Parts: sequence; structure tokens; C-alpha cells
Amino acid sequence: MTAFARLWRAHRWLVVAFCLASLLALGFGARSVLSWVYWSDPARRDATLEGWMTRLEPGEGRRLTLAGIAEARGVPLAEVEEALIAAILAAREGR
Amino acid sequence: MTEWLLALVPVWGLWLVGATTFLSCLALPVPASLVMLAAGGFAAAGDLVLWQVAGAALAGAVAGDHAGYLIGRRAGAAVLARLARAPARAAAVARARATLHRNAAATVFLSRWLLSPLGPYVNLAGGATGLPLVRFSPAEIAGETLWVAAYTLLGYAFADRIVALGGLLGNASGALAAGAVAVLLGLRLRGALRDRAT
Repeated sequence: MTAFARLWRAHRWLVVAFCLASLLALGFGARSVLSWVYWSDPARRDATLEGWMTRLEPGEGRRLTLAGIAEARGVPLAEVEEALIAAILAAREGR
Repeated sequence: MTEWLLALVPVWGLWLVGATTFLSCLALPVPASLVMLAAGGFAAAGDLVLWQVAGAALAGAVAGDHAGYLIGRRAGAAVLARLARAPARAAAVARARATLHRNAAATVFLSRWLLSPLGPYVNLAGGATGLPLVRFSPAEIAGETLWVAAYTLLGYAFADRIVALGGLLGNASGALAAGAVAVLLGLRLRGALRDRAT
């Protein structure tokens, strides 16, 4: 009887658990490497704007999230995001 | 749910950070690492204060770990006693308890940060096997301090790349935890092979 067959007979659940854990480790490892490669591209580093983000501005008090600003102005979130992106690009040009 | 939770970080601030780390230490599926990264990022933007973020996260984590330990002590001990009724399993339970208690400090410490997905189960096992609190708590607090400091500082430093960082760290810690379990099971299998061979 081969070593594997012996293990399978005596410790079936241990073998199954070992295979599952190894597969999980490989899967997560592959995903880590892929996301590392993906985010290494400088073009992808600019984060997409999300409704939960707040604007960087000096001053006291709690800041509004982008979604909050859109709501206060009564315009869609996309409009606030567009204005913000235009402002960021303008600031980069000026640098 | 992640989007929704991140939207609440600037609104509920420290309470949300503490509640998330508390729940994650009980193995509930909340994205604690991402919330800590985001809170660190909000601290960089001036919406929150960094030491307060770290303090709230640490308080939540330490409370959560001890809650898990107590649950293990109350409910887990009975489960273990029932398992140990069969003589074959009694030996396995005794062996597992001895192994855990022999390596308690390292197991508890490393399962807070390096192998953090395993943390909640170590809490339950520690309580269920009657690991004394004087051996559990110091390693627990030291490990959680490292975990909280790492995530909030990373969020503070890389505030503009939180989502990318969260994904990378989540996958990497999953790989490390699953890898550690695979290595431990592999060692047991090798031991079983040797026992048979001799």
C-alpha cells in the first residue's frame, strides 16, 4: 500500500483539510500577486471617487462627504465628482 | 456592505471603528481592516484624530477578543467535554489542549496580526480549554496593538490608495493564515506517516 493510500485510510479528514488549506493558500496567494501587479501600474493609482470620501479642505468642523455635498446642492453625485476631477486636473496642470 | 460601512466612517467615526474591530474578533464578517485603513485615511485628511482612531480600534479589538474567550469558556468547555466522552477523541482533545497551552503566547500573539483570520478561533479555543487569562491577555494586547498600529498607520500614509491596499492586505493575510494551517496539518500528516513506518 502506498503512503498516500495509508494516510487516506487512517486520516481521511486530515488529508482533506490539508488539501483545502493548501488550495486556499494558493488561491489567496495568486490573488495577492495579481492585485500587486494590477496596482503597480501608475495609471491605475488614481483612486476612483466614491460617495463616502470627504473633500480635503482646511478649516474646523466635520467635513461633508461627496454624497453629502451632492445632496446639499441637490445635484447628482456624478456632477460633484466631475467638478472635483476637473479641479484636480487643473491643479495638476498648474503645478 | 463595504461601501455602506465606509460611508459611515466619517459620520460615526470612532464608535464605528471600535464596533467593527469588536465584531471582527468574534469572526463576524465585517471588513475591520478596511475600516481601520479608511479611518487612518480620514485622520490624514483631518476628519478624525489618528491616536483616537488607534485607541478606539484597540479598545474594540481587546474587548472582542475577551468576549470570544468568555464565550469559549462558557459554551466551548461543555462542547469539549461532550466530544471527549469517546476515549479516542478524549486523547485528541487532550493533545490539542496540551499543544495550545505549550505554545500559548506565540499562538495568541501571531493570530492577532500576522495570521489575523485565525484570531477568533484561537480566542474560542483558549477559553474552551481553560487557558488562564494571565497567559492570554498580555500576548493578546501586544498582538492587537501591532495589528491596529499597522493598519491605521498604513491608512494614514496611503490615504489615497485605501481600496487597493485593503484588497492586497486582505488577500495576503488570507494566504498567510491558510498557509499556516496547511503547514500545521502537513506536519501532523508527516507525523502520522512516521508513526506507521516505525
